[in-house]
Amino acid sequence: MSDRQNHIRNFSIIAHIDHGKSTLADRLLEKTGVVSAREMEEQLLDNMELERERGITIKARAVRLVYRAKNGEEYIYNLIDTPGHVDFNYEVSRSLKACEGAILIVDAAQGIEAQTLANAYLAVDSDLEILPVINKIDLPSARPDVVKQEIEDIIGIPADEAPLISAKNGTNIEDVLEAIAATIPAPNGDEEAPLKALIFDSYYDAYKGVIIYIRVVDGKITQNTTMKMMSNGKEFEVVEVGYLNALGMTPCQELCAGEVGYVTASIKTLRDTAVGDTVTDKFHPASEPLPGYKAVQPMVFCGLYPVDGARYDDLKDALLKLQLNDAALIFEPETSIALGFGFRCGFLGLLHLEIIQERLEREFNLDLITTAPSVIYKITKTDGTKMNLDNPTNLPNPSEIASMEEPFVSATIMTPTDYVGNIMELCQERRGVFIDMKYLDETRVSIHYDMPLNEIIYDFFDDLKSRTKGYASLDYELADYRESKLVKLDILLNGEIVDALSFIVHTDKAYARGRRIAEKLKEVIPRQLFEIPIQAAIGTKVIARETVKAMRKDVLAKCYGGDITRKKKLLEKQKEGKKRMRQFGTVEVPQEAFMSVLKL
Amino acid sequence: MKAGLYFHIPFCVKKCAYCDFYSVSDTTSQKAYFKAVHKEMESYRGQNISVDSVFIGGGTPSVADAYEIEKLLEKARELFSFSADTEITIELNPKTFDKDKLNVYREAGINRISMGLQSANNEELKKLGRIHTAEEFLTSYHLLREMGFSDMNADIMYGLPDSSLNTLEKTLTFLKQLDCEHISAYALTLNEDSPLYQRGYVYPDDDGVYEQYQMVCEFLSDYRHYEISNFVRAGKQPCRHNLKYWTRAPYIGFGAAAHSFYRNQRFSNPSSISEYVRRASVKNYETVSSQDALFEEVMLSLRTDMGVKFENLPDSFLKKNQDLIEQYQKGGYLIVQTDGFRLTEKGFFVSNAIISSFLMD
Repeated sequence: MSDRQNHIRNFSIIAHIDHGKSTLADRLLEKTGVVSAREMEEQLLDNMELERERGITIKARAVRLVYRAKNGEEYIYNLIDTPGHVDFNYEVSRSLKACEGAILIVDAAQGIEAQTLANAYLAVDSDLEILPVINKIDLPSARPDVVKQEIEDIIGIPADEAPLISAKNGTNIEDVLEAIAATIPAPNGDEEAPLKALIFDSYYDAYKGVIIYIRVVDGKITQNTTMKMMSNGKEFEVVEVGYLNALGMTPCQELCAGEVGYVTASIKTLRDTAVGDTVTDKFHPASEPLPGYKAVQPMVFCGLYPVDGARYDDLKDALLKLQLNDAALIFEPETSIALGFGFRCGFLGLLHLEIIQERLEREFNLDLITTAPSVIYKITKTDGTKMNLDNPTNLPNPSEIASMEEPFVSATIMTPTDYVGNIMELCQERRGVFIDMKYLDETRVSIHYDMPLNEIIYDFFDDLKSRTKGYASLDYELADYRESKLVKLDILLNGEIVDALSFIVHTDKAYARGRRIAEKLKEVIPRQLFEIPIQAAIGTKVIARETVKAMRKDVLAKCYGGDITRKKKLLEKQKEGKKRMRQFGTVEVPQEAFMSVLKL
Repeated sequence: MKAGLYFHIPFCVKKCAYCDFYSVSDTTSQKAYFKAVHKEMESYRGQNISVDSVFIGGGTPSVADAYEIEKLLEKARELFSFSADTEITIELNPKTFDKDKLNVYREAGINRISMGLQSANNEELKKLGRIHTAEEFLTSYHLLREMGFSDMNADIMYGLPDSSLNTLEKTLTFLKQLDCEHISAYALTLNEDSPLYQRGYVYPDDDGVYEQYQMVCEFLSDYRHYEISNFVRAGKQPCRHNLKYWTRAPYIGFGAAAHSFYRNQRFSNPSSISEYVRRASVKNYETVSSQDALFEEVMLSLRTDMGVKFENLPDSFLKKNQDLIEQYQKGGYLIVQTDGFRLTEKGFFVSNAIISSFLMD
């Protein structure tokens, strides 16, 4: 190990959501003086507006800190931030691969939560040294000793020496900085070996093209390297290499084994530089890529349509722009009889879907209609052919279907014992298969269920939170596909199927779901000149029916002394209101109707 | 087409709880106000505009000095060219006039009276903030008849606070006995910030108001329902002034908050007495484009039982709306005639939805 490597520490911070990851990152930046007080903006690493608002980290970021330790030595700390939500698990695992250690933050009041454990296991799987840190000791309900014990019992790592901090108040941050140098191993790659570097993040910059964040494992990369992506063979001439600072990038001559930095190479599309891929040198290639690469697979799909059909091209441009920075977002054009032209989009999960939708509406000023989210179903037809289905509209005729499979996830829910009953009830309702339940200590358990993914994508998390007063935490990963009795539920307005409202549902749930949707639609569709029958149907069989009665009164009674202008304005306003509605034959459906049905 | 003149007299004894016309109860500015109206009339001198209807509305015009009304009409006759049969209406409220006042009106040429009844239930009248009872209305009404006024309108309202078909039936029965030449029946329309709305009364829902509307239509079946809110006794002519609004005929409004449609321009006066007195000449002019004109034609003519005439509609309009017209006819909202189409009584009550659907781009 070189002396240079000896003074490098590469680490991530992992935590359950809201346990203080971003706040600690801010404090580390502050204490090492990378960011002056004036420049200090809270949660500096989270630089998307939405991330700040939601208080979650969506994309990983990295930053290089210089720390002069109490032993007088100067260390380079590469802090690699990770996303905090289960939707972005793959990115977490990739970020961890770029490190030798991880700071595991545990909330002193809440203790270990589902994602604490899931992330800790990810770190253990990546052979990382884990440095536990107990945060929020300033809270009146903090119980650091109990939490220390939890860490030792549940995760199985020593926690006696864990720094006790308050990231919010800046208490004991020095302890963390010292512990990093003392606990986390230095990198030990071979500088003379052929180049092997892991891409752990990338984003699109309008001036420089794609900027990739790499961890050099072996060899080195310079401005003169012709690099090659080992997953797809794509080659690029390096334009610039450098270090990542909190407020920008500092070019340098080379990045050597053990170092973390960025590379630009006039790369036009993010797809060519997938996170997890290995970069090598075209002329001195490594024989094997780094292990564990996989292409990100979207799990949840839905249609996105502009409310105003004329804005289709705007939506397309917006999606393309978002995709530049989000390789996990996929989309392709589709047509709906009900909604016209739009896109079928794939997401990592429901949160990812919501974030994209919100960004489209906020950053691109688009009004959108979202169709019911769907997972990918595997269908075997009677003629033996197989197909993957991500749009319920495309479900073949039931007589042509031999069998259908749906994705199951393995879900872990951690909760105080008080709520075990509620949670089991919820999971049973959602067709969960009970696997086991483990006591973490006297008051907390970890419940393990196999659950159909299509039950989780509909407000499962909200329901879980409300039934456990917010105490339960959830983590899940895709397990397998299982055969299931599934049907397509159609919604008919005025006798005609509204394809955008069709979805696939388990036979046992179809009746209740159909009825709830029909009732909800009755509430949200305004009365119109003709009564509107609402039906939920499976094939030709109607399973629920409601009626929106015909409108009786919509009139301007009085003429205010010949004030015609006022009348005109009122009618103009009414006209504008109509424009925001979707027209199905004679039925007008407000945008909110689609949204409200998705929440059921 | 001859013009109508509208005079807004913004004085009331007390403002009714539902009213959002411009009015005040302080009459100290009366002299200055009428002076400003005269001045405004003067601005039309020399144009020799032909007039066949005058409407003196408010507010409560009968709260003002009868002398001022007399002077007003005198001035109008001087500046405008009145037809011999000019319809001259004044709005009155019960308890705001006596024999002497009516004599002055008659002498001034007023030949039509519009008086607010609103309800024959005293409880309802109280909630509405009216200053009279049903009995007092009747006394005033008989006085008017005795004085020889032979063209009378009564206003009523339905959809009132805590109302029901029973309370409405009482009002309609009372009204029928009066045998008015003309009746205006308005569905009470309240803003959510109206004090009456916030007082916690129970209002009939849309279906309930529709039932009341149906009852009004049934009770007045021997009247001609010539406009959404207006009925005229069989054989009589609709209110000439009222029709000017719906037929896009010219009318000139004088006084605070008064609106005009003249020479294809719509304009209005400031809606405060002091501002009006200071600068009556400042108006907001809006020229009606051909597109607006079509909008108005459809919006206004469909309020009447004469409906809209095909000859006034461009082919593109009919082509675009052919399916809708058919649907609405099937649904009983509309009747197609040889020269045009009109709304039914059922159609009148959802006319906003119908009209706005016709006018979609």
